[in-house]
Amino acid sequence: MVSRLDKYIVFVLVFSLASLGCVAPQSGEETVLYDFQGLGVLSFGLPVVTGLSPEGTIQIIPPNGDAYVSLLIRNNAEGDYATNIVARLENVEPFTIKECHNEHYPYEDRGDNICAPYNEDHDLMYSEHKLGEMYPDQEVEFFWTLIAPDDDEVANMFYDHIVFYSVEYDYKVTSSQTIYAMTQAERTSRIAEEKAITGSMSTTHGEVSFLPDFNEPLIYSTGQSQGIDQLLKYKISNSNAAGTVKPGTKINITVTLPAGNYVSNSDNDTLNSYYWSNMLDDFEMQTWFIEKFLSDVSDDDILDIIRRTIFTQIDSEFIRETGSQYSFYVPFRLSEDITPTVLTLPFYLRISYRYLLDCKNAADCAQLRVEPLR
Amino acid sequence: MKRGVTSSQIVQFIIFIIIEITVIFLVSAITMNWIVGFATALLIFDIVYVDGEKYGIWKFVIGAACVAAMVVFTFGPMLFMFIEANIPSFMFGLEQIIIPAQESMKYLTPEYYLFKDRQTVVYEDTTDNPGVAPNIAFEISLFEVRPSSGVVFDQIMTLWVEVSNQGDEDLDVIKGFRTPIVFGQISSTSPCPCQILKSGEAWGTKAQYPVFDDSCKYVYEDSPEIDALCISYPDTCVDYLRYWSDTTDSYTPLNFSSCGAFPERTIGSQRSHSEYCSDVVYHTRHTNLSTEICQVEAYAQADLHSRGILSVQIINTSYYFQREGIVPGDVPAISSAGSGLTSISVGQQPLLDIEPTIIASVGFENGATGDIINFYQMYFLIPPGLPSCRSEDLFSCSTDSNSCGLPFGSWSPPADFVEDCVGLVNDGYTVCKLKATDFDTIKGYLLSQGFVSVACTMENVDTHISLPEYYRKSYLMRADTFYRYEMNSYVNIDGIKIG
Repeated sequence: MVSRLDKYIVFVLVFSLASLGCVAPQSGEETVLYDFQGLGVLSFGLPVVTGLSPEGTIQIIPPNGDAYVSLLIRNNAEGDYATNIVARLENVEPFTIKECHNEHYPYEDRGDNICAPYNEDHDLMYSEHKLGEMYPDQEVEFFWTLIAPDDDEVANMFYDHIVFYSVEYDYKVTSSQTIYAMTQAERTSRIAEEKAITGSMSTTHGEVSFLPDFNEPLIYSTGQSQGIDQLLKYKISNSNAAGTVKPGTKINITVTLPAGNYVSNSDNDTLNSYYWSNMLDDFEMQTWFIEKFLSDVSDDDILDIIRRTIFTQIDSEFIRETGSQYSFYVPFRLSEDITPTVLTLPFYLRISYRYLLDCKNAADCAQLRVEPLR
Repeated sequence: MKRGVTSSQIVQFIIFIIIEITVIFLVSAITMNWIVGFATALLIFDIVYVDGEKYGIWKFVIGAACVAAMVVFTFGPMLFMFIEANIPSFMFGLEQIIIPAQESMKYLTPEYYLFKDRQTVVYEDTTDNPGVAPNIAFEISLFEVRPSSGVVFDQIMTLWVEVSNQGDEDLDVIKGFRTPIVFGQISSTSPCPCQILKSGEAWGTKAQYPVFDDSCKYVYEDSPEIDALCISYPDTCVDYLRYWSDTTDSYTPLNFSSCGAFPERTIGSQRSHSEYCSDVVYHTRHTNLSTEICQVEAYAQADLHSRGILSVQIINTSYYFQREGIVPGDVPAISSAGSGLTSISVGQQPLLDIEPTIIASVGFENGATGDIINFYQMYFLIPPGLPSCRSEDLFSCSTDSNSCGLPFGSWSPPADFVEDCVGLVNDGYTVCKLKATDFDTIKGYLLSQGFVSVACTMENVDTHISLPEYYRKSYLMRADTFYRYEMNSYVNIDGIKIG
């Protein structure tokens, strides 16, 4: 007979073992994106079902047979919300698409014929699925069923076909940068004392990245009678080889200048000469800016932020090449009569763009083979 | 002490057994260890049933509470994950249980569940190249003289030919034997000819043989040694003539009976069929000849159908220039394997959607060792969305399904092609075939050269292929060629005089 104490020991032991089993490391591969990725495609092609993973990379189907394509995407945990996400299959013909048991041409407009659970697909083509929002660290799998062409179309022969994907989404990268400005004497003193003379910068992850290209600290003289126009040079680039900013779209760049008495917007002529505009002067941009970036800011602060914000737009083609950089200058004005010998200036830079992820190479895309029955 | 068992105790025990089984599965799943699952069940059994008379119903209550705790422990995290909608997979064993929950989070259509059931059937590992089907070809797989190719004059022989269908479809094949044509000039490197005579025919009467003298001039003699000279010294002169007339000295070097052409036979895929000619007699041309060589040819003919398809990819121009690294390249057409090869080309792909024209060349060539002996028609099927060929082209295009019917001449395409073609035209395809006015010219060129290529210029004047909302699109073109093909095989028969 086991004693009552022994029973409890065994009981605790069993639950301890159970707990150990629960926290054992998982066998699946961890899905981590790089800092140059907003959304990332984790897999495309053959859907993977646990325990039933296919061995080959080519999906073989008979004429008029069903083929299955899945696209698994992930939003970077250290990125921002992605919105208005449209995942699309490209180069689908001569395959057609089966959705809710009905066959459709890939580029046919759905109208209101949506198929649950894709409840946001109104007026999209049947090759597309839409998702309103993805929060950081979220993974979503899209799925399509294709119907192979019939015997006649492929002349009763083997036919290899590659289906591409494209994923378009709105994304934004926010950067907070602290810049030191000081007098020359203060700079000399700090260098001698080995104190910091450069600020710091933190940026959310995304495909388009900022790169400061100016010397710190900014130097000014105290007690001067006129303000000083300053220029901060930045470079932006497309860091992700897996995609590009959507062709034909604009990249919106906004810079919110520091609050306080010592920094102000440059005059309109100076701003325009560097292709900038005051946010305060453009109601349409204000609306967009508030919706995009200031949704969680109180109304009292919004006006102040808008007053200090300037914006510009550049064409997507300027950074079409991976790694190619586009330079721009941010003008602002340091006011006269600056009393302190050192200033810490917080700038907020925000980039908003519509990005396009796709597969360029056949090896990254879904390979289908129509094999007639013999 | 003996005691009775009440019905409520039996019910309790049955319920308990069910719970125990549940516990075994749950705990085993959580811990991924069956031993732990059984150990837990054993522990609960011990708590509930050992010393039961001492503790009564409380033992059962305690056991049931343990099981309930375990159920909460199992399903609690799942519930939490559902609420958070962000299933963390930190529980390895539990992951197996929550798979259905994960799938419900995916954006899956009803077809996905059909796919799950079919996956093992749909996918295959294709590391090897299966080739391109259908294969439409045949060959003479065997041609021999029995009992031997060395025969005595007047000996009866048997010619045996076997034709194999190497393709995937049935073929109607005509076979037969013949000898090279005797009349006219022959090459000095050829063996001396003989002739296959049909039943009732006889070798023509020889009047004179032209022979060469020492200066290679023709000298007409009526001498049987000329044959021997021909055989023994074939390279002495460039060429020479041989005349056969119907005057005198009739004899037959090789006599066939009705072996010139056998009736047409259907040979199934990957099958062969044999014919033989058993009453072949080697008659020498002259009684004074001691040896002679006669070349015999076996042939097989069939009407064949060659197919080709090409996927033409169009790309959005602004996307092409914005997206780096898309390198245009040649895309090979897929052609049915066989004697004749039909190909389609539009140059390097992808094509830009602003291209003013797409020029497709449809080619046909002899890809085997036989001969194209007749050419019936070439069809080019343009998929919906693309314009048809220009009127100046050698193709005549129509969206009328009747265009799939009779070509020029008496030959008609096989019913399965007509059916295919009509089906495609009804789906919006345009069918183009060679114009009647140019057909004979193209046919003549093909028969003499062994290949032909015809261009179709599709003018994109109405922006048929613009891609406003997407980046890539494909069109699948198809071409079909119908022709008659002949394969040959040769055997030299050595005739010897005895006595």
